[in-house]
Amino acid sequence: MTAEHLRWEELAVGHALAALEPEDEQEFLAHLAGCAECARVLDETAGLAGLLAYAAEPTPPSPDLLPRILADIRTSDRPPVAFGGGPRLPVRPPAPRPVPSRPGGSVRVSGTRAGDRHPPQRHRPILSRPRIVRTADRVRWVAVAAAFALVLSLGGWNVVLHNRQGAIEEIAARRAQAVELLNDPTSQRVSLASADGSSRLATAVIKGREVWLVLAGLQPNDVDSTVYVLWERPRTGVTTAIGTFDVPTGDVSAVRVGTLRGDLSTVDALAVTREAGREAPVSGSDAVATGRVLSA
Amino acid sequence: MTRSEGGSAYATYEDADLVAMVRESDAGALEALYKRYGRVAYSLARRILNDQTLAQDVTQEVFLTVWRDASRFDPARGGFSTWLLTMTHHKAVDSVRREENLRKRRTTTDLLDGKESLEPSVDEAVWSTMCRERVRGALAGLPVPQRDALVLAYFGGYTQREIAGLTGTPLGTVKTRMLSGMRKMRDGLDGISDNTLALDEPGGTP
Repeated sequence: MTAEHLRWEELAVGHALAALEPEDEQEFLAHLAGCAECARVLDETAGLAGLLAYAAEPTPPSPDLLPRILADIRTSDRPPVAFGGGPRLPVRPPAPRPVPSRPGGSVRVSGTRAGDRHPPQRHRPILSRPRIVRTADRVRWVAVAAAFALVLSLGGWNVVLHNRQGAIEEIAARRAQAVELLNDPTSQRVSLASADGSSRLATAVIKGREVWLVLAGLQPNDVDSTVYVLWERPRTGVTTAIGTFDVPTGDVSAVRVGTLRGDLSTVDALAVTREAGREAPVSGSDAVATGRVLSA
Repeated sequence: MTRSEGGSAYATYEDADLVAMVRESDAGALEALYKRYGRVAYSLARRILNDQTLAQDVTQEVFLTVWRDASRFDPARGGFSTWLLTMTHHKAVDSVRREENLRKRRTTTDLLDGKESLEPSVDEAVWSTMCRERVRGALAGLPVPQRDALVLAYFGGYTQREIAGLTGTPLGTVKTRMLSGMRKMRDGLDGISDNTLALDEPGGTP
């Protein structure tokens, strides 16, 4: 890097930290408009600066802050059209019967940027998703706590506590496997929620075309006479079964279900049904859990 | 405090999807983003402003801006938390630089307002705790002059020139220290994304 450009990089850092004098700020912004390298540096630095925020001592705001924010938006130029009652987008997923059309609109995020401070260039992810590192005791505690928080977030504390030591270890191992899957930076995830949208029952983890389910709130099934089926509804074409699985206990665990027919980008939604018998039928009954594949 | 029906369902969505819903005027999505990031945004503003009321004003403004300007957010360009916390930082710094607030700025470079607490409080997301631990660890790994430069700038709201005056060093040195400090932070933080996982805040903000 040239000495000249080092100067710009210094200014980029100063800008990201809001520490520039006004004249330096103006000079930098003028330069930024035509310099891809500076835009990249700024992008990176802004992400880092955002992380710095976490170093501040966490303090909860007063409980009336959220109501004040909600009151603000109600009186804003664009008052809310939906409040509570579950997400308005995506549209409540229908049962996975062969349907040629896709309900609801697509979620498209675009937008103009007009001279605000948001990084102007395409985001290059410089850092990957967090991995749970199992080294020091304290860090191990955090890893266990992460699994604990994961259980809470996946729809409730459903673990059945056993007296037998082996069973407890097995539970812990399955939970750890589930946490690892969810944290895998190369995977994509689709959350599967109950029909009324009120709780998350499972998370589908997709690596390539392989599909695992991290189970949390699905009711255990009678493995002698029923089976769970995971379905994929493509954007065009017929809904098909990815595979079958059982939910033996109410614990957090992960199971490999099968393989997608194509890339995840061809899939519109995933759904779980519970069927009589031990095989996937041609078309499923009413879904017990569904999740839309939202485009990035 | 009222909680929206189906509130936990919003928690299953990634940040970018929640912002998309905010663009469609879904207040539940904004509430979910507040539950996810309201505390860290407020804590940042509080540290900079050293004033609860001013910090809450900033946080309130920021989330209103998220609501109004959701169409400006492009997930291809960066994570939502970066956008939110950058806005929070700038508004807080602007506020503390106003004439009447200048005296609230702190020249101390320690980041602990109370006792060292790496154990999460009951209702803090484990993710936030991990971030705090990693970021503080990375900061602690910096040479003191670099760390001081970053902390005085980011948390103190001082300009580079003011930091030069406070520390008795040339302006050029301050600039170099900030650049070196950020590079070292980047190396020390390898492994954390600026996109958080879509984990609930267990219990939510109070």
